[in-house]
Amino acid sequence: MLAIAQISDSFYYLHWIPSDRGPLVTQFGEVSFSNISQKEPDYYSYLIQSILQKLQLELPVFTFTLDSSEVLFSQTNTHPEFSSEELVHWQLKQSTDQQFLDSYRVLSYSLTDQENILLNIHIPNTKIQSIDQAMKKIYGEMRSICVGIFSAEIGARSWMNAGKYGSYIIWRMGKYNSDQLLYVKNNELVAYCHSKRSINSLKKMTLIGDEKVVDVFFEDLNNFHSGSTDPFKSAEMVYVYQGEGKSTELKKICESGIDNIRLLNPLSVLKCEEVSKGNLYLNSQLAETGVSFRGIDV
Amino acid sequence: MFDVNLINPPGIQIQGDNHVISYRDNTPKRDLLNPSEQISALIKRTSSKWKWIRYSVFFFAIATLGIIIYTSLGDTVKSGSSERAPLSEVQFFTILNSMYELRTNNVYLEIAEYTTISSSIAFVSESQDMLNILAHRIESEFHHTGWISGDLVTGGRLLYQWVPALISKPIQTVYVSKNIILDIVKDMGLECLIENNAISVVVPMELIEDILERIDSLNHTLSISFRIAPVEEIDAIHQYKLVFEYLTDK
Repeated sequence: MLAIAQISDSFYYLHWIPSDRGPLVTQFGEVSFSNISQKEPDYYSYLIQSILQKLQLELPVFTFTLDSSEVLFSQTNTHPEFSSEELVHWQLKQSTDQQFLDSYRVLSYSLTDQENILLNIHIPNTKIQSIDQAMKKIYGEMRSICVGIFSAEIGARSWMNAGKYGSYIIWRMGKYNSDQLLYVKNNELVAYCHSKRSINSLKKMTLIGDEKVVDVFFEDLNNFHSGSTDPFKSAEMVYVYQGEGKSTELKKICESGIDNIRLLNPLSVLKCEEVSKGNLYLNSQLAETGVSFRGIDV
Repeated sequence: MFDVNLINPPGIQIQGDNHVISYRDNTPKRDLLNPSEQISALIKRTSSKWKWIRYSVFFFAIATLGIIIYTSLGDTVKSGSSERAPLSEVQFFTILNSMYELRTNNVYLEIAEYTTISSSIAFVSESQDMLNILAHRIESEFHHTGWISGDLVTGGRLLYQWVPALISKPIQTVYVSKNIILDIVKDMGLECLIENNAISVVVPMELIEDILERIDSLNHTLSISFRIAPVEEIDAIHQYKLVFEYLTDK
């Protein structure tokens, strides 16, 4: 299985094979083509073929994780009087035009039954078509296409058995204090947040779901920055990894001694075949290859 | 549990959906191309494009900086195509009315639609010259308010759109209270038609403003969405159909 995760202009790949001791990582790394526009129709073909050639692999099964900047998010508050399908359809009609509807497909996910909230993910049709074309060209199979932090969440469940906790947070640190959070409670997604931190303020760029739990997390974070090493109160466990940008803060918080913070990196759990795991903070972007391990207990 | 798989068909996702893209059975023979050669070709093809992109980004940055300095010096921030603050229904109508006044002969309002999430005004004409004149007038009057789309060369439609909240931001569902609209319309002695989850009323342009101001003065917390279109014949420029859509009978 070859998992590819896009983070900004870079693509992180992780190849693994099943073994009697569980998934075995054979190769991992990063490629980028900064000189080529991703809008080129054959971009994904070249990307995938380059990785295959680099790794000298027979044709594996693929999974792909898109950077979350490639998709759009919106929220629908469902209403007991109307079917959710009807409501989403009506809302799209209200808020978008035909060109948008022709260009994007929308997948809607229920957050929690109590809150009656749907998280909508809008994906450019061209992305799916490009990946489809790439598969066609190499006669390959794409098992799943996921989105950034959602793929990391699947990884946390598989690699670290996150589901055993009553609540947990997936925290993706980004460049310039840009964070993404997923809050999961009783194995149900409760909130998604994309925020930007500065010294004196916090701006929630996108917040879908329960705002209170997100606020508690940022209180925890403020306490940490004030020197506290008490466990985070916002969730039983917080899994953290780095998207783009430097991993200085990631290392600092993971080594702070806070009991319920854990680095999310498949290499910290999986066995590797004849390859060095390297610096686990520097390659924690591999967390977003998690979708490749869907349904697999490591 | 919550599993995102973008290959799944559009719609509401339920647990267990797991579609794949597969061409594995098509042929057992695989003949991979040499990616390095193709990438070189691709870089060559896109290098000139990158050059222009770099220049464009540079000029855009300079222009943006200029706008930031300009707006920070003034008392008010001029509205622009990149403005994210939503328009109120009355603000929208004021803009519509001003644009309407700037029309030349043979230019007609095709439709004006307002929601808290996106709003648009479209004019049509058989004469492209007349549409061009209107476009220039609106540009000089409103500066960079809104943005123009549509093909003025082959088209015949001049479109202004406001998308105050991009879809990446959470969109709250807009519920329109039917009774609020009905009370106002009836109080003004107007006949209205209720069908397909919408209230429609045929009125001259002057009365539309009155209706919207009355709605606005109630300071209700519910947002409204509406559209305004000419009645049947495009020449009947004085009578417009004002349609409020609603979802609930409450």
